[in-house]
Amino acid sequence: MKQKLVTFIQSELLNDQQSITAEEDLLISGLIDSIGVMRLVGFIEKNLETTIPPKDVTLENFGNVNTIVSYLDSEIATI
Amino acid sequence: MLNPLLHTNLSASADRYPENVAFRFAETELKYSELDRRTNQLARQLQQCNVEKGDRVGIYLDRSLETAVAVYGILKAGAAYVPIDPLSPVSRIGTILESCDISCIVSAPSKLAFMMRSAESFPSLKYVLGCSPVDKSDFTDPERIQFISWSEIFNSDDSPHCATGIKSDDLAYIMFTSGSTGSPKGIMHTHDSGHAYARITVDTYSISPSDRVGNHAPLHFDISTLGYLAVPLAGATTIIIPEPHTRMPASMTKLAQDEKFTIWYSVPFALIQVLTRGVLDERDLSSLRWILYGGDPFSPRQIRELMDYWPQAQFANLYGPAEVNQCTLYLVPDSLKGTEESIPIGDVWAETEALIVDTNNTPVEIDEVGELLIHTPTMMKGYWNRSDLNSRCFYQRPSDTKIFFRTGDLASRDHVNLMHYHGRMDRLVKVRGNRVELDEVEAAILTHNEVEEAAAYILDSGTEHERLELALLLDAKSDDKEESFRHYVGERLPKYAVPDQIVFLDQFPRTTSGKIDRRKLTELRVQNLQIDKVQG
Repeated sequence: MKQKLVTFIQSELLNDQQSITAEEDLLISGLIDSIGVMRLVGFIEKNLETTIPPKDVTLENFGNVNTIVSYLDSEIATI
Repeated sequence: MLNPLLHTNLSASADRYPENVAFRFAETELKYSELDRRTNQLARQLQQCNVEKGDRVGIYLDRSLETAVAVYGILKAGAAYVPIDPLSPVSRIGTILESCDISCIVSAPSKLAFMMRSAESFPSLKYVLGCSPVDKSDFTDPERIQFISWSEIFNSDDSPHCATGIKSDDLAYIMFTSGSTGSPKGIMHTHDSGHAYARITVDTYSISPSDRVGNHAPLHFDISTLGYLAVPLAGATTIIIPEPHTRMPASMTKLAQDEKFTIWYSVPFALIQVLTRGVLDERDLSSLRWILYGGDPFSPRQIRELMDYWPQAQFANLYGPAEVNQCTLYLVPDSLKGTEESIPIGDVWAETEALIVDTNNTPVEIDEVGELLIHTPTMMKGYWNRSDLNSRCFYQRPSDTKIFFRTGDLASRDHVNLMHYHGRMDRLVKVRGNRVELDEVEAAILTHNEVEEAAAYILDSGTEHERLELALLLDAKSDDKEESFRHYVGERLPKYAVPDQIVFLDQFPRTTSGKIDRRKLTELRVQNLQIDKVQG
């Protein structure tokens, strides 16, 4: 999942203009905008066939790829 | 008595409420006394960098406490501040620096790498304040730019300091916005117009020292003048919402709850996000007393839903282009059903006069649509170095020589004296609250030698999915992909004006005169998208 997320963010959200690491803060300096966050959530929901409640889409859970993966590990059983 | 200056408002609040918090950001804050002292230090430093009264100084900062220090430090030095969108491409920043002859920029350590990389594109730049490289050996010309760090500035003399001879009609700030020909235009505000806005705002919303105002907009966006100019006049607190929170509605509403916002001001898009994904059922936002929105129309149904969450708050639609700050106000009544067609822009606020005129500048009848003209003390002085625009954008009424700004917006007035908005006369649009000239987007891509024709337009306007799309007709030889065109536009336009989607067409729908039929094109695209959705 980690690699899938990195690939999605780089190719779909950053249009292959920039590469990121799993530790990189996704939200500073406008790297990903609000529409990007919505698309990212949609991508995860589609891939894992699950629903992510809005209350979980927070800085703590979606700050970088690593935090997204650990959130999914602990909260979404299907992973 | 002399007219007040914006920075004397800050010093007055520092005298009256030295222990009140002026600005908060994340877990940090600046009290009025601290902000007053730090801006003394910055003003002194700017003068040592040869900044003189009447000069322009750039602010190149992300949301942070330093933005407040920069605004008031620059004003105390007698200069005008010029906020620069940190997401702008280098070429656009270069254009702004050059047109304003900016030799000095206030920035931060996080921007150091950018400054080092881009310095060669900014030939007029001599001083960068707020960051300092350890090693300048990468520079081809290490002596040209001098760097001075915040720690150096904040260790200097902090006694009161202010340039002499600043007059209230001197420039205070210039805000750059989209220009239809492809170069950004600078809206010039003076201490007089900025202070009039601050004063009328504080009166209108009864802002008191105990208020806590959530500042959602970045400094280069005119909505930020409430948090940066009006709140300090009242001695209240501005909470600068960090960038990541603006992307995460659930985190943003948590911040609003923890910080006990009393006043919220943003574009509707931010409130739509809060409504749909801000988990309002789990948040206590009973501290909110004003919900102010502006910059875009807002659907009555969504306002109604928000009003049901926050029945204690007064909702208000604020209208006014950046050229006049704010000029009308509509207090949304509790009786709003949500099924109304639209929300009025209301009536003029204090000290302001509105005219709705036809093409001969004759006032139109009740319920007739015409161009809205505004006379107000909060009006700009004009566009920076654009005598061509300045000769067209004002109207002087012959009967009393009063000067009105031509908004370019279409409006009507109904029988109970409320005004209604009917769109633009030109092709200026709002994309999620940001002003974008569609002509500028098209002009930017038409410089690409493989593009033959282009049309930019908005889809799903007024919804959470509102987006800017660009349709291209390419040279037959072109085999470039969407990414390369997006990259090309991204190097020329601010991020919010870069199309969300680029599509390639074999032909455009045309009007009888052969021009691109943009209305038809938009309709076709909406239908296509629906087909895509069904198939996907």
